[in-house]
Amino acid sequence: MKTFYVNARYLIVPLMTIATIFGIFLGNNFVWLGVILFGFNTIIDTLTKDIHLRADFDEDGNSFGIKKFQYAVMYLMLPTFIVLQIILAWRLFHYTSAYPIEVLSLFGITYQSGISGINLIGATLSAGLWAGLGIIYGHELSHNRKEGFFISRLIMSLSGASHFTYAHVYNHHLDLGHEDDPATAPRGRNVYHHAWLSHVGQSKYSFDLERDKLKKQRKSFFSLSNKWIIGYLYSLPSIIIFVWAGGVIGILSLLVVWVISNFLLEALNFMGHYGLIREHGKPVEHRHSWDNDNVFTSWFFIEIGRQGDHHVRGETYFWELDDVDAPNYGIGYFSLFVLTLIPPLFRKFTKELLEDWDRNKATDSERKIAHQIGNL
Amino acid sequence: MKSIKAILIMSIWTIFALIILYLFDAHINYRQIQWSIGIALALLIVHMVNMVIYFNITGKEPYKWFKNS
Repeated sequence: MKTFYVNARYLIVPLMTIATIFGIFLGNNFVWLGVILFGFNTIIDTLTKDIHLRADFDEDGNSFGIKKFQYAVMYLMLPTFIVLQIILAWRLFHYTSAYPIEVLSLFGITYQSGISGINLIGATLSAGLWAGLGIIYGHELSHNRKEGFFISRLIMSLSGASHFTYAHVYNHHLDLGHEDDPATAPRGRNVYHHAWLSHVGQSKYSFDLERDKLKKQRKSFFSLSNKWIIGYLYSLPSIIIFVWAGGVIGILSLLVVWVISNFLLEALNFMGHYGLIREHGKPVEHRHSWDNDNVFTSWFFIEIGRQGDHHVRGETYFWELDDVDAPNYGIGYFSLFVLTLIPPLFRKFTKELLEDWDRNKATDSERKIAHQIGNL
Repeated sequence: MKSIKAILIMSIWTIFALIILYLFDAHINYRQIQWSIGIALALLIVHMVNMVIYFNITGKEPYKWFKNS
């Protein structure tokens, strides 16, 4: 029973993504289901902010997590996100082809054919939000050295961010808490500025990596060995589908999906390390990441909020990550995300937490850097 | 400052590419699959060139925490 409970609790995102797909399929106001679920999750996350659980192990210290099951779920998220894009493209096709709005039936399920402009916006927002939340699987699989890494590249490419997989493992994890890591936000930066800088910064890392590698190998930059180029080419099928289905409107719709999903990804990076500092060359420790580990955030985001442990043991399965007494916001990702959207509120919320970090967790060198940043 | 310059050039390049696509009636022919593929490829290249423009103009400047670092 315990094994079932530990493994089933991480199915919230897969189930809600399928519900979002089904909502877009049903049409009418159901296309907004993805947006509504996002709001619902924010409420649940806020209500459960004080419930924190540890990782579950048996008496011998073995985890209850079933590796094969969890990996099967993560791999199946790739076709799930592809279906999410296809169902949105199908709705775009209806809209741009001026399909009449009428009730039809498929395999006994009644759905609305055709779509209004306002509901098309709802379908696009729903798809964007869940494509963004699905990036947690791209993140988790990026730490896999086998086929999972490739699946991660494909999942990220659905949001035009295939470069993330390399940049996350070889840049973010190694340069964490330092200006060499574009995904670490220094104090004072807001989430909107960070989303742009972190996105292009990670792409630049992958670009530079490939340029230098190919130069050493005496190969042309324009080569099929160039993983930066190949990564973007993985996104081509998505663009073709949206262009074909919706023309200009299709392109705008895909743009919205990509902007939302990348914004959510970078918001996670923002929240995970905002204001924390590591002296260059010093080891990454638990204190260099913020934990968000209330019960709903932990289960929903497959423990991605246990950043302190994750950054010290990067290849540890998510279901084995635990509370390591890292700095903790004390609230979940959904609640914190709302605060990040209003930068003055977020800065006010983090002020005392950062002062506490400076006093009790930082080294003298880190305190010195914090002081320099504070004086800017 | 470099970021503003980069974004300005990226905007000019993007608008130029979109005008070319418009002049070729891409907005009318997008339902023909060979056009869909061509338009998608063109848009992807526009995006990638935009990234390279930003990398080359701004260098490491936007990511620095301190002006003189």
